Amino acid sequence: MDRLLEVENLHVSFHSYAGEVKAVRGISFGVDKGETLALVGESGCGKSVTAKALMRIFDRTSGEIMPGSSIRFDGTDVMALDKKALHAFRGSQIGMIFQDPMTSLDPTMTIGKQVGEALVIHKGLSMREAEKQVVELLRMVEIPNPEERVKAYPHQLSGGMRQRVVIATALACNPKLLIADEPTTALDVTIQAQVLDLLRDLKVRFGTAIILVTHDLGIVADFSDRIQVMYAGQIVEEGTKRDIFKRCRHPYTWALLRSIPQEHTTGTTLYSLKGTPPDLLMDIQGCPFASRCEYCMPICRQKMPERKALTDTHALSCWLTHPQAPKVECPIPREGDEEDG
Amino acid sequence: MAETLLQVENLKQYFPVSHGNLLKAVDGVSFSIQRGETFGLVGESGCGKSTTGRAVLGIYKPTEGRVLYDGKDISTYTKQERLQFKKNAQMIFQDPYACLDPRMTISSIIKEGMEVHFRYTRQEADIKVKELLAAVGLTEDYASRFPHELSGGQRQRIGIARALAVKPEFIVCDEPIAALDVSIQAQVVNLLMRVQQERGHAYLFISHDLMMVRHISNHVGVMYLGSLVETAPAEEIYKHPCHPYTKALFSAIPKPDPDADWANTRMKLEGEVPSPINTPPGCKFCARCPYATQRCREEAPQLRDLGNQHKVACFLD
Repeated sequence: MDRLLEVENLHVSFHSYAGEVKAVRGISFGVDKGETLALVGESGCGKSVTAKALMRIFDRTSGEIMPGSSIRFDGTDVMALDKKALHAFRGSQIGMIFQDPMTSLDPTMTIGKQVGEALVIHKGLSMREAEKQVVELLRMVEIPNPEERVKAYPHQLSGGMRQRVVIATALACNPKLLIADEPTTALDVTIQAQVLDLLRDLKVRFGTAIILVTHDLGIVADFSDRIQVMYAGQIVEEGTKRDIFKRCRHPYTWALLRSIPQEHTTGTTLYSLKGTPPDLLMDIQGCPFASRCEYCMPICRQKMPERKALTDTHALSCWLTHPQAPKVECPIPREGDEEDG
Repeated sequence: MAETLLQVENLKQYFPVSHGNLLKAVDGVSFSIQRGETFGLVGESGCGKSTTGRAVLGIYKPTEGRVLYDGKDISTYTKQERLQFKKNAQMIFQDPYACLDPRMTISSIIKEGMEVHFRYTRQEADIKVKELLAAVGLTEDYASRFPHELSGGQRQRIGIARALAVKPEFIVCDEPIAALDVSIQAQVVNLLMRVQQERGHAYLFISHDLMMVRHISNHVGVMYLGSLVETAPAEEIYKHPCHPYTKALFSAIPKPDPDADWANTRMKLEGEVPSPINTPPGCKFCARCPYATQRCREEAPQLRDLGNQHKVACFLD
């Protein structure tokens, strides 16, 4: 498949009074056309910052993409774009959906104006032409009565409907990539299911690639093709959905999977990770997960493990993959798992 | 064991809103909680689960219906009894950032309730604080810190320690894990279950996280738009949900299994929760229910017993 996005050695830092917060620490990954990639991890692991960095939505005072980072999107070097080119690039090439639909919509603008804005700016349509297309867009995201709703303000819509409006805005200019940052976290489960169905349907219809940022492993298992597990600004394990859920090898991925309650865990003590993630103000020596890892060895605290590819799709950074490391069995019970890798 | 601690009878909690309309947040809910057990209350936002949680603690004066604690109606309490009830029934809140006073040290936060209800000397109180911190898995040097120095999970532990400080029999947990990360959620739920085993209090566990509710609860009640639509022992309701809404709600949980084919196998629900203002007569769920009949639109179904303590408010068999 064709590569759409290629990120190499991405570093993002925030400058605070206490010093430089290194939120993303040298990650490299790619997204193919039409593919869904999920970034998972706990809060503060850098997944949202990574997603935002792809569109360079940081001003100098907040975050900075450090020199040496490379982002290539469909032949364009995103890091080299000037202000004007960047403006044209955002919205037309990449669309973005945020977690909270109320804060990402302007409360003083009607839905029609808001969704149409992108069409006026990027496609050069007149406001009247744009309004017509907006009705079509709202119909596409299954909002009932689109002719009426273009005149409504965000506060007149429910949370699920607002998120549909945000999706319509993101898709207005047929972007090749859609970044969805926790798109359903603020929604109820039955509404979440509806929004995920809609996204799945749109993905198939338009062949849009999606980067899904989430902490919900249930959504990931259902929705994504490939998964990257992030911890303290680094990718610790990546692979296809089956690689991660059935054959994962990194102790942090194990910990994430073990801490979700399931049918067979009822009434028992849930697995829980000890400690807290490392302070991102500090330089981390060795593996970032070492201090919380059950299988930590002396080398883990001294040297960062290299990324090791197990198969074409499955790779991880962990010293346990080293030939001299002790053999550790995956602690997750795996019923009915056929080893076809 | 099977001694009823809390009984809610036909609880109604209406709030007046503009234009003389009534918002029926809780509309005729009945359930009971046994001593030492956990009752999980689930539902989507706006279904009245938090209002129910507050009403059973006497924070609101119910529009109709009664809350019996240990067999006595809490609205008829004398001043003395009311104080005793406030000691016995505690609450743990959703937002660990908002529920702790930022200007108080952890030690004074935990002591505040003890000072009202017990006559401890200063030394005794300090010892109690240390014990409580140890019970929730924190070291004693946290006592002199302030809430802003703590992470979300640690603050939630302080919230739990504060509730435990007055030796309650009953704790309402209103979305105690909603603001926490997955691995921290597991820590807090483990802690809640452990202290329950040690101290034997009952929980009303309010959450929209259906898998966590299944994990922690003995009994589960499902609410929709102010009504309790189904209640049963936890395993029973998850294995054999009877109400169409319960079925749809449970099947809407994404499963952490790449082979589940969740998108095609689940029961889909059209539309959204209607407004709780001036709800029409009949079953609250009938506008979204795929099996709704004329009778559902005219008559509100009452909870009926299916045996095995399984009750459902639906005309369907």
